[in-house]
Formats: sequence, C-alpha cells, structure tokens
Amino acid sequence: MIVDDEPANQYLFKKILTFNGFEVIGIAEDGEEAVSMFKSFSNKPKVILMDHRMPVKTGIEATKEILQIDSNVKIIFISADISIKEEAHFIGAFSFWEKPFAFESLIYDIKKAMVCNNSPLSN
Amino acid sequence: MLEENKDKKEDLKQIKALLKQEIAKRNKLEEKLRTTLEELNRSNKEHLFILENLKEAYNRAEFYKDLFTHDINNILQGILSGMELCGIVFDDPDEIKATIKVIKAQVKRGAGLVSNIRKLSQLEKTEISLKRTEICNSLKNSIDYAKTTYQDKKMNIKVDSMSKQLYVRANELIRDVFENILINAIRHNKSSIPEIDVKISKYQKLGINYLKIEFQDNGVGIVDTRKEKIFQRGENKRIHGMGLGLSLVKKIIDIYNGEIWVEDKVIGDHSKGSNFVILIPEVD
Repeated sequence: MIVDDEPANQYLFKKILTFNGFEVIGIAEDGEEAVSMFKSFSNKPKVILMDHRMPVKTGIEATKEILQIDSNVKIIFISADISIKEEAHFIGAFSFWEKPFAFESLIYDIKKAMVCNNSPLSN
Repeated sequence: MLEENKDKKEDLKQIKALLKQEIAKRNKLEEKLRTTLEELNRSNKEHLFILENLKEAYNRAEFYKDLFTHDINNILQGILSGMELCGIVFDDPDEIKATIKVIKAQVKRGAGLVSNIRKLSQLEKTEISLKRTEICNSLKNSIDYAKTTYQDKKMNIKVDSMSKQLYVRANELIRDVFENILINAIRHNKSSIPEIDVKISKYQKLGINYLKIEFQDNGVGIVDTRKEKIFQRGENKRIHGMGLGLSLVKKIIDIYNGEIWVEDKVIGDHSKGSNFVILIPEVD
C-alpha cells in the first residue's frame, strides 16, 4: 500500500513496484484515507510506504492508528522531512527513507520487511 | 522689635532663596530623569525592533531551509523515480512516453516553485505599489490557467458575480492569488469531478467597503486545527501537505490590506469541502 499526497509519486511508485513483482493493493492520498483504507481491507497489506507531510492527517498520526489496528504491518517511511526520523522509529516504523531515494535500494528493504512479517514474498 | 522683624525677614528671604535653589535643582534632576527615561524607552524600542527583525530573519531562513530540504527533495524524488522507471520500461515506447510526461511535470513543478520563491522574496524587500485593478477578467484568466494545468481532468468552475467589472486596490499579483486557490481546490480533491463555485459580493467591515470573493470547493476539506496554519508556512515548518502557494497568497492579500481565511463549506463538516474567503478593499 502506498500513502503519498503527490500524484506523480503515486503513479511512479506503483509502476516501479508492480514491475518489480509486488502487488499494490491501495493508494491513499493522506493519512486519514490511509487509516480508513487499511481498516477496509480484509486482507491487510504486509508493507505500507508512508509519506509524512500530507493534508488532513500526517504519516506519523496515521502510523500510530494503523499500528494500533494491526501491529504486524510493516510501515516504511518515505519522507523528505528528516526531522521526524526518530519519532517515526519511536512509534514503530520499520525503516525511514529520506527523499530522494533510489528504488533499487528501497526494494531490498521492502523484501526484508516482508520476511520480517513471516509471510512469503509476493514477488 | 523692629530689629527682630528685620532678622526674620532676612531669614525668610534666605529660606526663599534656598527653596528656589532646591526647586531649580529638583527641576533639573527631573528633567535629567525624564531625558534618561526617554533614552531608555527609545533604546528599548530599538532593541525590540532589532529582536523583531532578527526573529523575522530567523523565520525566513527556517522557511527557505524547509523549502529546500522538503519541497525540492520531493520534486527530485519524482524525477529520480521517473528515470528509474524509464530504465525498467525502456522497451515499451508508450510507457516511456507516459513516464517522460510525468518527469516533465516535475520539472514544471520545480520551475513553479522557483517562480513563487522569487515572487515571495520580491514581496519581502520591495515597496509594492497598488492601483485600481479589475478582478473579473483576472479571475477568468486564472480559471483558464487552472483548466489548462489539469487538461486531462473534468471539472466544473462557476462564477457568480453581481457585475462583469469590479475593481479593487491591488496589482497584477491578484492572478497568483486566484490561481493558487483554484489549483489547490482541484489538487486536494477526491471527487470524480472537482467543483468550484466562485461568489463575488460586496462586504462592509469597520466602515471599509470590500469585495468578498469566496471559492467553495468539494475537495477534501481542512480540519479546524489547520485552518489558520495553512497560511503560516515559514512560521511553522511543520505544516503538512501544503505547498508554497498559500504563503504567497497570504502575503499578497496582506499587502492589499485585505483578509483571507478558510471555513468549512458546510459549517461543522470539513469533509464536504472548503470555502476560501478573501476580502479586498473595493475602489469605484
């Protein structure tokens, strides 16, 4: 699942992940939509790519709520705001990637997160 | 007896002279005290002014630091991911074409950001002259610009104005105000067809005649806790998800001696959309 308010990032991230064999089951434009989308899934996503600065609800706020619903989901922060890195780790984020990052490295981290989940890789 | 009276008179005279001297001395001291107090007051005001300037300069530096570390990096992310995708889909001309379009849009976004920074910095240091400015035509041009920017998207933008020609005390930057509000209303919108109703009416406040321009949208809305913060970027770098646009809008409206705020389109339910309200002093 991808949570980012920037349409270009939504489009590009989904394409790159799909070409790498992952299934993107949802795209949310802000933290509030991310929480309600997460609640609505009967099969929860294993990994969430989470931006931070978004309208309505931030990535940090959304992460706290999502982890309360399901503490097994791995949330990878992808943000240009390095000042929230410590807070993200403190509230339980799996890892933090500062924008701009190269996807070839992030993909390795997503695979690692999925293994941590004790679930088979989807790619 | 006569001698005694004479002495008393002499004493009184001396006492009077002494008192006069003391009063003069006291007046002099009071004058000195007043001058010193005035100097202290002036010096305090100067210090406060310097502190205020330093605070403003600090906020500005934080604002630009935030801008470069956040917004520019987000744009670079779009370009980098676009290039990575090109490397993956190199044998599919349609995918390549679509990806290049996204990269170009990111470059355009970067150029827009630079343009906004330039305008903001000009507003901070230059004396802006205001003139009688017609707004209906500027609004029409701004709507055309918004439609061109989102040419792949269907949208309804309606204008309800009491006249075809209305004048305010402003300048050509009024178009930046309209464009930023319109683009935000389209961008932060999850409806299949973004709808924006622009209403222009007369408004009086404290004896001043204003034109009230309202932009009502069916977008995602803004929660109460963020309604003021969205205009304050630079003073609060932790404002989330909003670009530079609304800071520029607020600065321009301040220069026009106007006001801007945002309220719920349906009072009490932010999820139904926002109503951006602008007041600008009207001229005949």
